[in-house]
Amino acid sequence: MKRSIVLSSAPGREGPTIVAGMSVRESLRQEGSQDSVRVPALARTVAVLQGICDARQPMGLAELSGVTGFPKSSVMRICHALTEEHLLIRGVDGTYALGSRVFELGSVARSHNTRLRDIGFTYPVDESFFVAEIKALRAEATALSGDLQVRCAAENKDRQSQQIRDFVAARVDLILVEPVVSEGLGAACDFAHAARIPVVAIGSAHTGADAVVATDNTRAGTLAGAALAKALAGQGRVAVVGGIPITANSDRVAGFLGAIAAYPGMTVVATSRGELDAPSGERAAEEILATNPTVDGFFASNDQIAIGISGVLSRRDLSVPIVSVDGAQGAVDQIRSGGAIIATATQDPVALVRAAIEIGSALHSGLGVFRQSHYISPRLIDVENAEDYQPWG
Amino acid sequence: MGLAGPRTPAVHRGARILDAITTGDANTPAALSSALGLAKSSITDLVGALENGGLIGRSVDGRLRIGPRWATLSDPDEVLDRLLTACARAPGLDGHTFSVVHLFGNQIICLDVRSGRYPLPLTPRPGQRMMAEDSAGAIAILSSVPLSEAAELVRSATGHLGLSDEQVDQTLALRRRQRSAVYELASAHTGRQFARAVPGTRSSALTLHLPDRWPEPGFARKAGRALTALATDSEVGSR
Repeated sequence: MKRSIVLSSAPGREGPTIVAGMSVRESLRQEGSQDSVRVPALARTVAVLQGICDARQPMGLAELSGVTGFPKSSVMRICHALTEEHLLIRGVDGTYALGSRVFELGSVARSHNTRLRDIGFTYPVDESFFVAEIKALRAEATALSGDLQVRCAAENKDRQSQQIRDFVAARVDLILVEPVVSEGLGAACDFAHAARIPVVAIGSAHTGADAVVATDNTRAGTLAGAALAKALAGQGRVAVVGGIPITANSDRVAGFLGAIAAYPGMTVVATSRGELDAPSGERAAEEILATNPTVDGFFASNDQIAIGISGVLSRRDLSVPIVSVDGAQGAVDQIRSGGAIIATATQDPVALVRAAIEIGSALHSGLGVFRQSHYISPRLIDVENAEDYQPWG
Repeated sequence: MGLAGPRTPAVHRGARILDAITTGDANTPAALSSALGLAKSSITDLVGALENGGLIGRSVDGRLRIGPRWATLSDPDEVLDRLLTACARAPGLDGHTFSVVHLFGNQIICLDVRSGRYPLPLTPRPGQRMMAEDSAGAIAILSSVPLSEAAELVRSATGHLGLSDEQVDQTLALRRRQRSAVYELASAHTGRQFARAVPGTRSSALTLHLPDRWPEPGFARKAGRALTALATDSEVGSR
């Protein structure tokens, strides 16, 4: 029986697998990519290297031919070429072992891809965006064969600080923080740094983090502002409902205000603050409308707030457009059905998580990162493109 | 280029791509095409095949980089990530160089290195081979298993390296009579080292490399404790 050789594109991820009894060639024919078919020598190279690795001892041509299923002449040509490249070394008895270059490249790869095993993630509240992030994190952790510890801070700064300390005590490899505040987590992060555990902020910056991965929130606010200005033809009284005190929300509001500043006919008549759920949006809308009954448009810092505002407007039978940020299912449903929410600038929880894991991996392996801030560009979803957009929530 | 060169150009072109990415000369298909003088369509096929095999990968911003398969090829026991990361966090050993070595007949192969800042008589590098007699790691590996198993380990490379019985015996003679958690060696070629076999692997050891004159008194005991903790914490399947 032939040994099992895995040809997956990234160890730990799914990919074509050569099962016992199936030759490498048969597997390539069934599952190999077009690139492998176009350059079969490189697919065979992988199989030869993996075969010797799995054997854990030098192998002769006949044995390699048997394991890979390739003709002996083909294996010989591959082995000669790999020996010239120092990827194999030929012994005095004609057997082949892994060459020095394999270990050099392994070290380079390890520095890029140092495997994270234990990841801690603390987030503000059980809201759909964070749930989507957790889902993406679980997928990444599974791909890494790692463990993910998830803690909800319930919008409490002290609780989130303690959760960071708990992750340090548990000796995780990386701490990811969706902060509940921008200031006030520094001491806990210092504790992590003392243990040489990197901290990466997701979604919004906070003091003490080694790096931040976020949506370009200023751009998101700008897109939303331009959409509201277009809907109101550059004229109207608007209300702004911000979010919890993190940089992501202040950036969104700044972006929105910057966009409508180009329209002298638009004025901000009321500001309020919501949180991360629809009820907070309802409260904010009720307060604003109590003192400003003739608001022409709303900006909401996130889709949950927008949905709350929309509910209030619906009950009062008011037709007032709302723009927001997130790209969540509930907001997109309203855009598609002609509801009060007319546009939302997207966030991409999967992209955020992947970028955070990559930066965290580099920090975990002792490498610095070229850019300590990584911002992902949003796009505006409105009636023109909502049908083609796949919401995350 | 020898017999294989003209017949397997894709292997050599693939190697040139790996070189260009490793040195930083090129990390996009367009840059590779320019640097290697190959048509973009050829580069597309080669990069696709290398990527499909995990030999190259891409970072978040799409730049090409060395792929994760090399890490697994060079570390079938999957100990290096955890071990070398733990070394970076080892209390009191900041700035020191660690290596993980594998016994191969009468030689050791350096699997990977966590480089420190102190100058060493010989700076270990990944892929470097040296004689077992110059490695505390070899002594630790050979001494941590019964003689029959040690003999089996050394003889597994006899044919490949062309070892005589005398050379096998000389290698086995490196075993210390008294078993210990950590073994020390002062070699004229490779300097002073402490090493401990890595539990859960057959033939790997974690080695701490010291400068020739390391002034800190009582360091041997501290190094021994640290190596034991590191190797134990990083034991295969320990988490």
